[in-house]
Amino acid sequence: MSDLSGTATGAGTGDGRPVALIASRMRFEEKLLLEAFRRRGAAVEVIDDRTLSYRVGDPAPAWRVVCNRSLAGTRRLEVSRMYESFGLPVVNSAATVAVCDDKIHSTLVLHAAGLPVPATAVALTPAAGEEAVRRVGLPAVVKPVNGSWGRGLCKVNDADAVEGVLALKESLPSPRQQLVYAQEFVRTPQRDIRVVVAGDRAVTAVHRTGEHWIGNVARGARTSRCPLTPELEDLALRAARAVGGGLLGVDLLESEDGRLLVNEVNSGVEFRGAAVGDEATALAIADAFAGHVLSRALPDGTPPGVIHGGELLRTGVPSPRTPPAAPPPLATAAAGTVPSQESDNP
Amino acid sequence: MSLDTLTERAACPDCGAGVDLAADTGVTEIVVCPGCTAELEVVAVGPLTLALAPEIEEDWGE
Repeated sequence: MSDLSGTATGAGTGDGRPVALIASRMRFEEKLLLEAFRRRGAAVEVIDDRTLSYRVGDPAPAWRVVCNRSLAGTRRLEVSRMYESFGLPVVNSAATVAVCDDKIHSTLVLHAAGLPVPATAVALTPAAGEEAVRRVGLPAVVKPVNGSWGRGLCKVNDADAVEGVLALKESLPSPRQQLVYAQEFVRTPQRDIRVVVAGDRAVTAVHRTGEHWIGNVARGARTSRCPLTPELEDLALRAARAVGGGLLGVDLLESEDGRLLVNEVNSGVEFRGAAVGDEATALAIADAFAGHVLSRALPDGTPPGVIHGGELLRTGVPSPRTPPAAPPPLATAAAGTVPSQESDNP
Repeated sequence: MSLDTLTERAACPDCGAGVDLAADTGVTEIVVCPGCTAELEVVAVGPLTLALAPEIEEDWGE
């Protein structure tokens, strides 16, 4: 039994600074991640994101890297912002989380990268929503801008349903909830594809099949293995790169008219479903995740640095915990790279 | 953090039934009460303390 707010030590690697695993819940995924870090000899400090606060200008915690597994989208973004501001590498980066957790932003970014996405239209008010739905055609799906687990998705088949959904949005209290994000309803073989990505690697792919048109595991969809073809791998990795990279769940739709579309990219990826009940697969995914996080860690002996767009630009920034009299070498900092530790991924 | 195995049983804060937890259960994990099926969160260990789990919030998810 474990107390979430503490340090679990493995054999220890590098200069001994732990990985910070920041989580809202110790779910299946977080427990496997914790074990994967420990198997790699990394010390891990586990932090409940609900306990966090900071003062601007605070010294950075003595961590090598932050693995952000916050369950709440709002806190997920703030965790990445907070620790990047301290000069610590965070996976996923604030830039990635900001894109993925906003459907409008992600669709714009994916489209700009030349990736195929469902026909999408946006209206800034419910009053303009009818035109947005008309632009994608009926049936359409109206989605919350920052929903997850299939919550709040509305399939609208006719003008009456559109009127009802827009009236409902008009009554919602938040301006963000009143944004209208409408997509074509993509007819699929009653399934979608989830590709799990860790850095530059597509780790596994599964079909998610359900009775409901929302093919989400949280809504009861079943998963089954999906061959990770070069086409799927290429599309998933291009989508992952477009949103800034990291530990991601790329959701693809195979339309009945032969298109392969990027539906969305998830920054708080769960992988219990992607393991399809196979322990070895679950462990392999967790290990790939841990490997990617460690590949982003501060090099041994280097203090926090300057993070921009999720990248460590340089290290050696003086802070109250890094006396300026003894700065570390900056030779590797100029290259802006971190030694990769991904070669031993499964 | 203590990863020592504990064998405590805690009472469900809703119905009072005894809830046995797996040895590797940790703080913030969610368990289901066998008596009333309420979702419970492990909020502390030593002593083991359970509370009703919070409802899913609007921004939770992937």
